Amino acid sequence: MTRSDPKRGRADDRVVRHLLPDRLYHWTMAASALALLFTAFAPILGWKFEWVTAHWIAGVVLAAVVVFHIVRAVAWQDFWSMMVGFQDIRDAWRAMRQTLGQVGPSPDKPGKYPLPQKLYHWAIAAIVLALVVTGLLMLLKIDTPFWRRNPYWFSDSTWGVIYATHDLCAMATITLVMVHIYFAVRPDKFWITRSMLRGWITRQEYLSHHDPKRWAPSDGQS
Amino acid sequence: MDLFRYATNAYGQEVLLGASWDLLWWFIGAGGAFIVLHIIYAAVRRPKRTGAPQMRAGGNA
Repeated sequence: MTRSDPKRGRADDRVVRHLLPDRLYHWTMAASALALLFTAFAPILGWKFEWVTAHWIAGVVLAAVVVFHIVRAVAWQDFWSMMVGFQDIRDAWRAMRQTLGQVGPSPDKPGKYPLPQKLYHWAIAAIVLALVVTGLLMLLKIDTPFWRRNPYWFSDSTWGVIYATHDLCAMATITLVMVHIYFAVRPDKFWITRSMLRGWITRQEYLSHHDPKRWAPSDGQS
Repeated sequence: MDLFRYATNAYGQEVLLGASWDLLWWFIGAGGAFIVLHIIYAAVRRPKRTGAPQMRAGGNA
């Protein structure tokens, strides 16, 4: 590889897409989510082991990093870059018409996040928040070094709703994680995966996939 | 197929326990179906290369 290889990019030809704290957040969340899925579903599928301790510890880690992410997204990051706006809807409509072979204007390039990434983010955010809230409530039912169990906070029927919500959201997480990993390993999306590993995309990738008027990361911030 | 798991409590009442684990395979299937459909969509939508070979300066195809 030469230093001018456009696929790798020189240090002065890189555009920062994800800063180190955000990448650490992402991979910590990924590790805790995979640990939670494994400890939740392996026993259901027949692999019996003492799963509760590992499950609640991974759940507390997930809750902590989600709080970190929310605070960081609101206070330090461009929160609005993840919001779905009129341009996203218009460009999705144009892309759909183009896919169906109809004539019309081409969709504009997105800002930092294209619409599918935004929709995925909000879907997984809603599900993970529901999992965190119901999971934290379920901690009332187990003894830990920090507290004693007290299952009488809620009635049986309320516990049933809490468990059913947790179960359904956990199973939906499998679907979303499958889709996420699929896109992460697709060769045409690997430039995004690399940005979550190493933090940057090349300037060529930036100009090919993003509208500089909608995302100008010149200050190194997201 | 049941959507939820139920049990009978000490008072003989039926109480909700949680979601049915039978649904697990539907969620896995939904993820698999999305992936297969997207692979097909991406293959169909991929820009086609021009069919005719380009002539080189020396006249070879």
